[in-house]
Amino acid sequence: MKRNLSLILVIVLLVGIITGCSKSTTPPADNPSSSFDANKTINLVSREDGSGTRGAFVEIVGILEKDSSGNEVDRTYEEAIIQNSTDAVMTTVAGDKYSIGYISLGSLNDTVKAIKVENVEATADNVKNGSYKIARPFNLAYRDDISALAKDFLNFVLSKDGQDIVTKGKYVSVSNDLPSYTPLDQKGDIVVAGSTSVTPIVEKLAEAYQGLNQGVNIEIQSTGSSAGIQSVMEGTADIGMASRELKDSELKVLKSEVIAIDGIAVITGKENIIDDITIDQIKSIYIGEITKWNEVAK
Amino acid sequence: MKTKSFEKFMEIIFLISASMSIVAIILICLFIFAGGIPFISEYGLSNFLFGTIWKPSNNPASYGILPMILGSLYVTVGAIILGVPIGIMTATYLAKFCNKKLYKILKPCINLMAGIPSIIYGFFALTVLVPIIRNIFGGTGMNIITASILLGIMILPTIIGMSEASIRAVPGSYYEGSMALGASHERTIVSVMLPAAKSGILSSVILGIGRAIGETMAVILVAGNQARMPAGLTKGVRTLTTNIVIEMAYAADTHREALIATAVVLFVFILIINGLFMVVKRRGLN
Amino acid sequence: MYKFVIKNMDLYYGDFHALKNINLNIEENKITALIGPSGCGKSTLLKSLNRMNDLVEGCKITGDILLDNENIYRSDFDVNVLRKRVGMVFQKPNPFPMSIYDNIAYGPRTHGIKNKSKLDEIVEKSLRGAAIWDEVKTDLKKNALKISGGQQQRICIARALAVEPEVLLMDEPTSALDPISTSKIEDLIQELKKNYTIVIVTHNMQQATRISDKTAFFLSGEIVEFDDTEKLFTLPKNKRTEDYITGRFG
Repeated sequence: MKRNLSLILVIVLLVGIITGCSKSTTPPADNPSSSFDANKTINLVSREDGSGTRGAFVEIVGILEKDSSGNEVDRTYEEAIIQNSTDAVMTTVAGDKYSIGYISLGSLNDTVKAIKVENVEATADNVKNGSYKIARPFNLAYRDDISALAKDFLNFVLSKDGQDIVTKGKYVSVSNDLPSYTPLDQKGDIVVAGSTSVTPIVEKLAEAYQGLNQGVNIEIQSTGSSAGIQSVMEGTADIGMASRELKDSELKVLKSEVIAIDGIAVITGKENIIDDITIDQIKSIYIGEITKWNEVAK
Repeated sequence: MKTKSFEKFMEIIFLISASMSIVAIILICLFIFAGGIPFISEYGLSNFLFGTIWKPSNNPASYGILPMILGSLYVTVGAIILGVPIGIMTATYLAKFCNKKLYKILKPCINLMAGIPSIIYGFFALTVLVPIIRNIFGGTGMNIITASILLGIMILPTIIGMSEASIRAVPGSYYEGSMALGASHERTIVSVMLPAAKSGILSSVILGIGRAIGETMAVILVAGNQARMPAGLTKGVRTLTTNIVIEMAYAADTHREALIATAVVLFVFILIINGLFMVVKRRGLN
Repeated sequence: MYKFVIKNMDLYYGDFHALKNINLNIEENKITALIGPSGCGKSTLLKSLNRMNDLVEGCKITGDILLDNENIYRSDFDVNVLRKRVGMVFQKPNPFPMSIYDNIAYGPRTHGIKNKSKLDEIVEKSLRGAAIWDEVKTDLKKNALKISGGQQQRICIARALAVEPEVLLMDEPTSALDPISTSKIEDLIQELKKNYTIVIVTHNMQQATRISDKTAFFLSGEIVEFDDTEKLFTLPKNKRTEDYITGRFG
């Protein structure tokens, strides 16, 4: 009797969990906007302080402002959820239809929706022709005493072959007029560290490079733009990846090359009714002036 | 003669192995305290511990870690509230009520739970727990409640393992004595066996607290990580550990020292918890 | 007249035939001793009388054990009530790791008594019944594990008395104690027989002769001889009994 009772309880519990789960994770199929309640609060997702994407985003959108004493202050709303990688931001936004976030355009996948900014769609072409306003350069930074092997990798990245790979991803190449790369059959190890936004394209470039130079091993660490720059300055990495411009203090010690231009996509859940947003609205949302979705949907 | 010098030799080898742990602890202590103390003395201990604003990029920077101390405290307490009762009841079930066949399935499952990497727990919580919490409580779903549930689940194997062992270690003569007085199996377990095992159970809870405070990778994905004073159960928090992980990689100079000082605070908490553990254990032996 | 009647009882631990065709009558308000070499089944029989053998996996019993003419192995016989009526004291004193008061009050509390003054009354009565009240009355909150072995055993006896049993089963109650405690407890047992029926397993033949009225001699799971104690020890009817009590084998 006791055993049967507990068995029944366990089954009820399991059924409850399964229905609860499926209700919340299955998106409504037919009419997305019907189940979107615009009275809900906007759930902001942001990146951590040292993220290059965040640095570029807050500057371009105007969240970074000068205060009365001339200091630059990042006015990101303090209730914003902080995630420390591109993937974590995407997973968070994909799972919450009332959220909004920003990520590297090149990393965009179909679990989330990229909304138009000032009526311009987020594509590599629009970044190239300048109509999509939120974009920043990908920088590879290095010290003067960079190894010959690492320099050769940089040459590959800035060659026609390298930039072809860049264009195949959703990025914009730096120039169309570049020499081809001749492999010199190098051997050795290279350590590349930094931005989670730059990592995907550098991974593709590294793969191609290692294909042409079988004796080379390239290790890529995804730690964030500022962390990557730190590593290069300290000597623990050969090349640093930054998804923003280098600061003056960093340029004193390091050289850098722009290897691609990348848009920053503003993403929401697929069921969100918003399709288009102005830069002012983005700023208001991210400094906490606008807090509900119905203030955006006009 | 030969065996004597061989024995001496082995004794030295064992001594060296044992000293490795002592050396490691001393080195860690030295590094942490040497890195953090200068900052604390310059910035001021009470400004550091009780300051409510953490904004390293401001000018001048603000390094108050009270938000993170409270964040750690709240999610740990939450984890204890959820994990301890379930853990002790599970341990009791395993030790005293479970039949052999079911035990052969349950015990390996629980051991497996202990071996799952934290990041996997984190992703599980992100994709499964967060939407459920969001549906029930609204908001982002990344808050103290979610982090507490996640940590409660993560400390279960620790609590269950040690509690079960303690309950099993209670002499069977107590069980017999109680049954011989006409008490039922259930009453015997609850009124005699569990109280007899209480020092072992308490030790397991303390170990669980230690694990919850130190947990980082899983918590980062679901706690929200807002660096401000905790604003409610349904709002996000940042803990001492996640603060270090999020910012350490790119912090420089004073910012980095502040993070090492955060590690000092964490270290002191862990020392207190472990001290408590030893006191409870010693009292149990008496 | 007969508190317990055991008829044609056999007991198996798995395949091992531990008790063979036991027929025994336990008289009310008398002390019955069970003697015999190690492993002969005396403790096993004792544990059958309060169904503590139910806790042993693979134990099977056939035959009848009647308490006041009711079969205690009947499926609707409440085993918890049985154990209240038939108390047990073990070879190694096993007080709970609680205060002396809580040890004694445990049984009554289990059976529903919550009133503090009633419990106080029962605790005092039981401790007096176990001849230990004067020694512990000043500090009932003391942890029961902190007193001597002999005192612990008397606490266990008091604990058993607290539920007001009719029978007391004692499994070698003094074998772990020193001679002085042993003699105190033997005196106690003789006092107790006025109000209780007592069955005692003992290795110590002198103890059996000192305190018991009837004695049963066990060998390899069978009762070889059962008689008044005086008769069994002075004029045993069976050669094997004689060999045992004269020490030819142990």
